[in-house]
Amino acid sequence: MTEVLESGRSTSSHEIALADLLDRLLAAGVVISGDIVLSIADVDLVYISIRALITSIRESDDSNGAVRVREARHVERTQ
Amino acid sequence: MADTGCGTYVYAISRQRVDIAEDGVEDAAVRGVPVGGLVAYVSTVSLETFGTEALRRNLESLPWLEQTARAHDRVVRTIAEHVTTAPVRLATIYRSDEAMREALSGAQNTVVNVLDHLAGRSEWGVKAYVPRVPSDVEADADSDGVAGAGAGRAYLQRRRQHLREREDELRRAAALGDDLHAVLAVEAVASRRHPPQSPQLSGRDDPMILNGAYLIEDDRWEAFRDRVASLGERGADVEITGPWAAYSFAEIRLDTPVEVSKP
Repeated sequence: MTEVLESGRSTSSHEIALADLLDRLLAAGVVISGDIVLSIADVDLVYISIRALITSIRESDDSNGAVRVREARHVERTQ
Repeated sequence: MADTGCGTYVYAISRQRVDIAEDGVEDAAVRGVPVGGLVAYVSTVSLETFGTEALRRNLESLPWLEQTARAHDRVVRTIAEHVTTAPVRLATIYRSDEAMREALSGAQNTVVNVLDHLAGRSEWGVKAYVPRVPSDVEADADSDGVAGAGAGRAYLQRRRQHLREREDELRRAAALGDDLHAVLAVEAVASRRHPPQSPQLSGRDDPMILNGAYLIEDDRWEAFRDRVASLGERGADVEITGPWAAYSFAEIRLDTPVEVSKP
């Protein structure tokens, strides 16, 4: 049985705080051993360093950290 | 040697198939691949970006990670809005659909158990903060310029006193966090705590005492929300987020070896 989903119904992703999302995405979820695997330890390390990275971006540019991240993504996309 | 070519990125697994109009990572179309009685939602990714070495490097780039995490969540959330969904951990990649199918088919029973566990339930996040009480010492520190002789010892005493008070405050805050979690866990089918976010992460000065995730029966949601609201009476400032795909409650590690060593 196939159901068609309209696009654009889940446009609220930007309202989700990145830290809340990463708490979940990097700390949990079904882990199936892929062909390309970051070991659990690797992911945990990435998680810790990413938390530190978000912190340092916030500190260096208190009010505009999120904006900067978005601009950077825009640049990447238009390359 | 760097990876080249394409890989299969897995987002989530469910029993039913839904067509996903949302694009996945790298703006690629999302496909449902049948595996036994299950459907794995995947998209094709370039291994130049998602190969082992590149992935490790890219995960360290916050803009890249944010873009990938939001694309991943967008797809998983869209599936979860329609069918019971077991989210797969971010950046799970196979060399081909075939390799993915092989790995997943060995894990079908476990995934089915997870899906049974998640059916009719959603994840909600609750963050709680305690308002920080400014101490006398901090208030004094600003106006200390006019301190006379003997003020040094008095300052040290106040400082020690302040540290003791601060320790008590932290202990009380930690205990309150435990209490709040216990109260909420009663309403939940399952619960877990993520590490509290620092003020720099949360964007709030007040210390976070609880960063909890709760798996709630969909028809018990209002009771849960009321319970969350009642936490304010205990002196906590509470934020609720969700519904999330059940990221925090699909933590099974299917580490069945794929690269079987051959004699």
